[in-house]
Amino acid sequence: MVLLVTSDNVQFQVDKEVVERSVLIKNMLEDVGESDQSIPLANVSSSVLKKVIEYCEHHRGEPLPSADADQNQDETRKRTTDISEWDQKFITVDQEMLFEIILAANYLDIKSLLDVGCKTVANMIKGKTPEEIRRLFNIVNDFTPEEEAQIKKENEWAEDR
Amino acid sequence: MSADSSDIPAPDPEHEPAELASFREQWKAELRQRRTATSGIQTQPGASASASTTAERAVSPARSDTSTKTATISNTHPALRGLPRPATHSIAGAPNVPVLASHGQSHLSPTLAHAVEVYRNAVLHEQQSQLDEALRLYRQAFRLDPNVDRAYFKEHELSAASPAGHKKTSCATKIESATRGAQKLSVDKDDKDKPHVTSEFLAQVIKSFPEHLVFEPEDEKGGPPSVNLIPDELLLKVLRTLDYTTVERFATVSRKARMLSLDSAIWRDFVHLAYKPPQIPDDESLTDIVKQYGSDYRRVYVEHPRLRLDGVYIAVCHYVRMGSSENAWVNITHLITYHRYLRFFPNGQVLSLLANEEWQPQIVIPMLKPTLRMKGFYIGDWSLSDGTVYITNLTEKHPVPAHSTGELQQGKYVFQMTLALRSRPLGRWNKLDFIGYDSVNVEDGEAISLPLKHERSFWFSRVRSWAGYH
Repeated sequence: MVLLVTSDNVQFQVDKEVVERSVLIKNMLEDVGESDQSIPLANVSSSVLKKVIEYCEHHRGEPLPSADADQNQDETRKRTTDISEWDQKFITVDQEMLFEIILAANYLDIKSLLDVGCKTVANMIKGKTPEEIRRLFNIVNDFTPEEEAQIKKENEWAEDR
Repeated sequence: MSADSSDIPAPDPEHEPAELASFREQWKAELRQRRTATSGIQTQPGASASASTTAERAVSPARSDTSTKTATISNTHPALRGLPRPATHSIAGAPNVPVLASHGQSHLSPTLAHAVEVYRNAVLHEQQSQLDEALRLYRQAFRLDPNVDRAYFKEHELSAASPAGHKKTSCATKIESATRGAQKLSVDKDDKDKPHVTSEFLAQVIKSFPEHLVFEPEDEKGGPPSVNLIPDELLLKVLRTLDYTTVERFATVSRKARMLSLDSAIWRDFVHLAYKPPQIPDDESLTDIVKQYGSDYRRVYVEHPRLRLDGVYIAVCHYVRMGSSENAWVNITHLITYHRYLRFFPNGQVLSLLANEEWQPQIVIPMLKPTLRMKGFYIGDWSLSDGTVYITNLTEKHPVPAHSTGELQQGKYVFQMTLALRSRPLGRWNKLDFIGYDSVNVEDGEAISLPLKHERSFWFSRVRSWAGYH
């Protein structure tokens, strides 16, 4: 068992096998060797770590993607945004949590979770008009009308009509 | 140029309003002066085109595109309707080209000048925070002339910088080079038609953006947008999973979104996915192509020809067939409609189908797979080079009759097509124009041209379920 301490000082006891889905922690454990010392995660809050551990528990035992395989598959996989059913349910959270999970997955180096997060955001953007995207993320349109007209015109090439 | 002169009707000179007559005189005078001029034309997007009028005759095939465009514009301008037939063919293009700077007049065409005026008005309204009115005027200006913003900026620049000087000289050189001959001119024209505007224009717009951009909230009560929680590199990771249409739509959300989605990593992905043989010739390196566009991957993707693989090109063709009739006084004619389909695959395979009107596109499109067997269905090879599509070795794939046992005998002929790949009016690489169509005798390789009388251009339709590739 490994002891993790979050930014808000909450302790988590987690199976080594589960926690090693995080490449960051795996490397840390390898460097430190067997030890009872806790690992401080200054960038992750308890509510987010709880979700991350839930994800790692579910996917425990699955092979970790190697860095090489990633390079090869990159092209074919890049434009597909399929997410497995369990992952989809798991990632159905409020927007703030979604971005927190992405941030944590990036920090902890959990590639598959980072992918699920990014694909989820991508799917949210897909098929929406700019106005819908603004509403979705609460982003203000800060173009001047002139800029907006110009940018729109510049982007016409990408639309099929 | 022959096409446009016939477009302008020639009214009776006697009934011509005085205003028009004087306009014409002025115009002719300008024209004479311009012909003799060796310097003094203002720099303008259309400058090299105007300069080239003297060399028109020599290069008419190369310029056919431009001339059609000028014809349309001159026809749409009300002041020019009903003008007498131009004395020489080169006049027809004149309304759209700049006149001499020495006249001290606007160097823009009337339509463009008007559009720029509306645009300027829009800028003014915007400065006074009358945004609705400003937006309305911008729209109007763009409707009047899609290039109004460029013209406006240009004019702005010209009035800001000294109006005289090196610009004129460089233009004078252009005239000389234009008159030197067709070859040289077509080079000049290419420079003009493949402009650096995409990025230059965009650069102009984003130049005014503040340096540190964040997503600002629409609703202050909601706090800062949570998308700000993740750093740009992660947002980029998201953008890199999107298709280019979604990326460009996202770009219109806000300034920050536009800046982010210009990242070359995004466009490098698209370019590397798209531009490999047969989309580019085997002996052409992508590195060289990218260099041609100033190493701007987005420009490569927007401007460098590529066949669309995420859909189908369809041509709708008609011809009239005389029918036979028992009554000698009645002629029966049939209007025959047929469709040509072309679907291209990344591996260099192309499917061609000729189907009559019993087969509607919504039935045909899902069938368009290499495994299809029907009359009029061909499979061949394709390659793209310099905007020209070469389809070779089109071999018919008959349905295998029930009673036949083995492979059917190969036909004696295969077919080949040459097509020009174009982008218009919106969208990219969505039109194919027939250049040639031949039947090739398999035995001796002899090619015989087939008539293109009934053939029409192919138009691209995206097919959602085929979009996996980009």
